[in-house]
Amino acid sequence: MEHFLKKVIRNYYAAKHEEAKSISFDECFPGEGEESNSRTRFTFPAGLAACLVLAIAMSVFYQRFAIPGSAEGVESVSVMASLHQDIQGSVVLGLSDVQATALLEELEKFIRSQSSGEMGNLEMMKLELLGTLLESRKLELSNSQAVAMTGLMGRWYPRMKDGAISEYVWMDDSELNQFVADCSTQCHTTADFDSLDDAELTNYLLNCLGSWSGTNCNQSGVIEINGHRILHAPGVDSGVDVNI
Amino acid sequence: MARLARNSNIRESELRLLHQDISRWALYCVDFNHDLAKETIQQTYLKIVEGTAQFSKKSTLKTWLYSVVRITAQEIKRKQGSHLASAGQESIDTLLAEEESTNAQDHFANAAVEEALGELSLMQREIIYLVFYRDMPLSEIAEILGVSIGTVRKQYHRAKNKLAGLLKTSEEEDKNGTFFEKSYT
Repeated sequence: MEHFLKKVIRNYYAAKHEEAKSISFDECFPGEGEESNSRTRFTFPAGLAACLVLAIAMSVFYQRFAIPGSAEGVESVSVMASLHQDIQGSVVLGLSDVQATALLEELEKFIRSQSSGEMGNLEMMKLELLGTLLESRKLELSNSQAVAMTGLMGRWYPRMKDGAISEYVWMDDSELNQFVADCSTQCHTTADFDSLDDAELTNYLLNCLGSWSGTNCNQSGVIEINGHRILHAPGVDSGVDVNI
Repeated sequence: MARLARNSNIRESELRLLHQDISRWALYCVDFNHDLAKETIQQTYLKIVEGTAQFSKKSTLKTWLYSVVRITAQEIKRKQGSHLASAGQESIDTLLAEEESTNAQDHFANAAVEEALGELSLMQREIIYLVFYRDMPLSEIAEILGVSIGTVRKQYHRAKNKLAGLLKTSEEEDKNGTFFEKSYT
């Protein structure tokens, strides 16, 4: 079978390459002094852009949410709207793994420093901001980055009361392990996400992020995405995912 | 030839030697669109000259270049809004236009293979291309795609099985006279 497939595929791509015009090295390689004059860019390094967006976000949220009050909900909407406008038109941030890891670490430190066990409005908004960045495609993540990001989010465990989420609790390692064990005994689903391409998988994870604050926490399970075992709770289309 | 100032591990002459190889990979990455492939190569070289992409000798230069070209092609495609689907359609259109002037059996082969490849995920297509056409070992492919060797093995296995099934189905449809109807009408 392999021999047959190899022959067919080789023939197919050989024909495609034969049709394509060749590309000369000298046409493509920039000569001396051409770097700064090139029409092509990297005018706004992704790392710098990421830091900038993060800094703006933190600054805005610190200002807006320093004093808790009843108008927080309304304010949060307007802040999100204005922030969303601010980032409209800016470059798409594609992060390298190193940059993404740094961002995740900063985000985790930030969230931890702002919370003593319970997630407040500030942290919730922070997560929503990240969701907005992702959904507006201003921040594009690879599969593994998205999984890592989702894993971080998954540390916030929704505590239920009277059938609704009453609070979010940050889990330490032992709590996380217990949570995973509890959920695994309730429901275990192995979904085949291997056929999803990057965009589809990211969309799936975004849906999980997007419905973070959903209240239909009634189901949980373990799914496997490209070799990563991920705890998924609740439901199929919404909830919390923990990379395990 | 001198080493590149901001990538002292690379000589221009080395790039020149590998140019044809990575040009072909660039063509593949942008669905054989010549202009996009050229742009991809230009951007790749620019990254190297400016030091935006740094070669650290953790892999071979060729593997590293493949990886940079792949990422650059994805960036360019994203910016240009280019999609595999539209490229696939163009290819089918090209086949349609050339139908009368070439051998019908070749048409069957190309159209069937194209359709079968279209059923694979992006990663599976890349693996199949690199293994079958470029004779690249799975370990190198894992480095290029930035995934584990286990993932590459699993995807390679699945892709082969899927392709085998799809091409067999196409062959049967052709024998029954239904394939051309499906592909060219």
